[in-house]
Amino acid sequence: MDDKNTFDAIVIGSGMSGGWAAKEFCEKGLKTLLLERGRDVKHLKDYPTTNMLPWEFKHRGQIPYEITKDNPVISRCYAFREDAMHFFVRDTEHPYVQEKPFDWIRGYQVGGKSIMWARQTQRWSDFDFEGPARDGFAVDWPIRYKDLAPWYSYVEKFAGISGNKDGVETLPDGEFLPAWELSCVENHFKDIVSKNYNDRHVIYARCAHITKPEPIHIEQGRAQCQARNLCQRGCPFGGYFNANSTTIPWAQRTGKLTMRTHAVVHSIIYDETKGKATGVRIIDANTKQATEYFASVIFVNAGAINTNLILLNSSSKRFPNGLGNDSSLMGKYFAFHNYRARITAKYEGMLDKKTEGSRATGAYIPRFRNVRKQETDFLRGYATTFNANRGGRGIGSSDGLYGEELKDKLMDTSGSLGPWNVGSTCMGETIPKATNYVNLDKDKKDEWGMPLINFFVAYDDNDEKMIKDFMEQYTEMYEKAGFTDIKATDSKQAPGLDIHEMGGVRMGKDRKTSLLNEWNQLHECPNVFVTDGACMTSTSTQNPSLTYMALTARAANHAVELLKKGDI
Amino acid sequence: MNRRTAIRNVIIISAGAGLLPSCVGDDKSSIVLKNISITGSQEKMLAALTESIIPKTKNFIGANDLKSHEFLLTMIDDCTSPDDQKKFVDGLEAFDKLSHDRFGQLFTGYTAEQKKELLQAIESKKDVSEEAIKFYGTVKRYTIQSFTSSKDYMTDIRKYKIVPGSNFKGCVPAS
Repeated sequence: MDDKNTFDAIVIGSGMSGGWAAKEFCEKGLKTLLLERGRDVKHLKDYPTTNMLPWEFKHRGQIPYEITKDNPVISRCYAFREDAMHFFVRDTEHPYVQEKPFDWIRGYQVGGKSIMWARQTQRWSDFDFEGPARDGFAVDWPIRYKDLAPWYSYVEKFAGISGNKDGVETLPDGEFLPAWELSCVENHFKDIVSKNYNDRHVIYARCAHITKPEPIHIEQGRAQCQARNLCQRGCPFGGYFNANSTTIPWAQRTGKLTMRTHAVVHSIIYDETKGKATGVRIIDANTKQATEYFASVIFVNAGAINTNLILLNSSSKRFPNGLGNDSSLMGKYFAFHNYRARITAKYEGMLDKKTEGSRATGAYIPRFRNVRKQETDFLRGYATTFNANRGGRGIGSSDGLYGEELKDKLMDTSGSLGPWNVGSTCMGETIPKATNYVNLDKDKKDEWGMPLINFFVAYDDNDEKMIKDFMEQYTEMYEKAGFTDIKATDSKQAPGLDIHEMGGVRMGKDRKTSLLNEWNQLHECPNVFVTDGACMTSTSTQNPSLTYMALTARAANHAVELLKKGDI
Repeated sequence: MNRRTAIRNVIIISAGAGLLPSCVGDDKSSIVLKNISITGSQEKMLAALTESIIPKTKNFIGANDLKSHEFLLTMIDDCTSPDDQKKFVDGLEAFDKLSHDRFGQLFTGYTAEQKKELLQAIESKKDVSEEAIKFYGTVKRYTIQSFTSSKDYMTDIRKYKIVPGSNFKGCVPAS
C-alpha cells in the first residue's frame, strides 16, 4: 500500500455531516482524509458576493434566461439567485434520470449545501423515533431519543443554536443561545392557539445562528449574527453554522486533516479475505485519473442520494448488488418532506404596532396530529412555520401614476403601514415505502464513468390527505385568530424541492430489513458508516440537518472506540 | 439567417417598410446587446420615455441619471425569453407608431406637454393599442425597479444597511 495514500479514516463528503465526522476524527488524533467532489470554498475568502450591495448585481438578483431555460430544476430552488448561484449545481453539469419527477438540489463544493441551507434546527423526540413501530410502516428505529440527546447537546453547543426552552414534549429543548423576539402578531397567534387547543404550541423556531457568541464560537473565529439574512452567500461574521466556518477549520487546525477536492468517489473497495472495506476509489474530476486511498474506517457523507449511488456502485464478488446490500433494500424506502402546501392571510388588528430591525428566524408549530394516538385518516402529521410581519412601508400600486406624481409616491416613506402579512408553510412527514426508490441507470453514465441515478419517488394518498388537513386546520386556526383574506395554496412541486431527501440506506435492528445498525455501521461491512440523510429510517417533520450532525458525531466517536479496541 | 437578422427583419416588416425613421437601422444603439437589436433612435426614445416616467427633480435624481433605459435593455436582453424579447421589440414599433399617430413625430421630439398627454392616454388605456400598453407597462416596471434598487434610492430613501445588526424588536409603536 502506498503510504501517502493511507489514512486512519476517510470521510466521503465535506458538507453538513461530513464536516462533523472529519472534526471528530481529527480531534481524536486520527489521520483523516476528507474527500470532496467539488472545489474548495474557504471561509471568508471564497464568498465572492458576501459584501455586495443590492445594486451591484447586474440583474438585481435575477438569474439570466439562458441559465433558467437550460436548468429548470435548479431554477425552481428559492435560493438559486444571482447572489448565490455559484454554489449550486446546474442541471446541465450533472444530469440524472427522472422516471418520476424529482427536483434534486445539489451543492458540489467544500461545505456542500451547509453554505446555503435554511438553518432551522429542531430536535426529534421519541414521538418521532417510535413512529414507524407504533404506526406499522418502514422498520423500527434502532435508537431512541435518549441515545441521541447528549449528541444533540454536543453539536448544538459547538454549532451555536438560538432558541427558547419551551418545555414542549414533542420538540425537546436543547442548548440554546438567546432567541430573537417573536412579533406582536406571532405572540397574538400563540395566545389564541394555546387558548383554543391544549396540544398545539406556537414557539420560536430554533436556528443555527450565533445570537450571542460563547467562548467556543469566538475560538472558532465566529462572531455574533448581524441578521443580514444574506446567509446563502456565506457569512463574513460566521454568524450561522456552515461546515466551512466551523467543523472543517476545526479539523484542519489539528494538523491531522488532508483535504482532497475534485475527488469523485467511484466506489468503496471491499477486501474479501479481510472481510472489510479497505479504501475508496476516486476519479479526479478534472484529469479523470483514478486513485485509491486506504483507511481502517470509512464514513459515507456524500449527501443522501450520492451516498446511495456510491454504495450501490461499490459492487464486488461478495456484494454484487452494492456494498452491504444483501437485503436488496438499498435505495428503497426513500422519503422526503412534503412542502407543497402554504397558507397566507392578513391581520388588520394591532395596527398601532410594528416590528423593527431584522432577525433570521420566525415561529414554529410542532406536529400536533396523531402524536399520542392515531386520530386522523392519514398517518403521522406536519409541523409548520409561522411568520407575521408588516411588509415595510410598501410602495403599493403605481397604476395610473407617472412622472413626478409617481416619483413622489415612490419616495414617500411616511405613508401608513399596511396590515400584517401572516403565513405558514406545511412541513409534512412522508412515509418511506419500497415503491419510492432510487437505483442506478443501467445504460447512462456521467463523464466520470458513474452510472446516473434514477428516481422513482412520488407523493401518495397519505400526503394528499395531510395537505387537506393542514389547509382545514390552519384555516380554522387563522379564523380564530381574526386573520382575514386567508388563502391556502398547493404548489404541486415535485418531491426533492424540500431539499430533505432521506433514506435508501436505513438504520434498523435487523440485517434482513435494514442496512445500518444502531451505530450507523453497515450490518454486513461494519467499518463503513453512513450518517447523512441516507441513514434515515423515517423522516419525521423536523428539518433534518441537526439530526444528521448529532448522528455523525455519535457514530464517529463510537468508531474511534471500536478502532481503539481493534473491533473494526 | 441568425436570430438577430430575423428579429431585424421582423422589425422592418412590421414597421411597414421603413415608414418610420427609427426603423431603418442605420443608426446604431450605443449599448451592446446579445439577443435583441435596437436602433440609436429607439435607444433615445427609451431614454426619453423612462425619464418621463421618473423625471429628475430638484431634490432627487431621475431615470436618466441612473441610465434606467440601459438597465431595462440589459434585463430584457439577458433575463427574458425570446418570445418576450420579440414582444418588446415589436412594442418599440407599436409605441413609435402610436407616437407618430398622435403628434406626427417620434416621442423623442415631443414637447413636455405632449409627453404627458400620451402617458396619460396610455395610463387610462384610452384609444391606445393593447401592444403599446403592454410595452409601456414593461418599460415602467423596469424603470421603477432601476430607481428603487439604485444606490441613491436605497441609501437615501430606504436607509438600506447591509449589516443591520442583531437588534430585532418584535413589537414597537407603529408611529
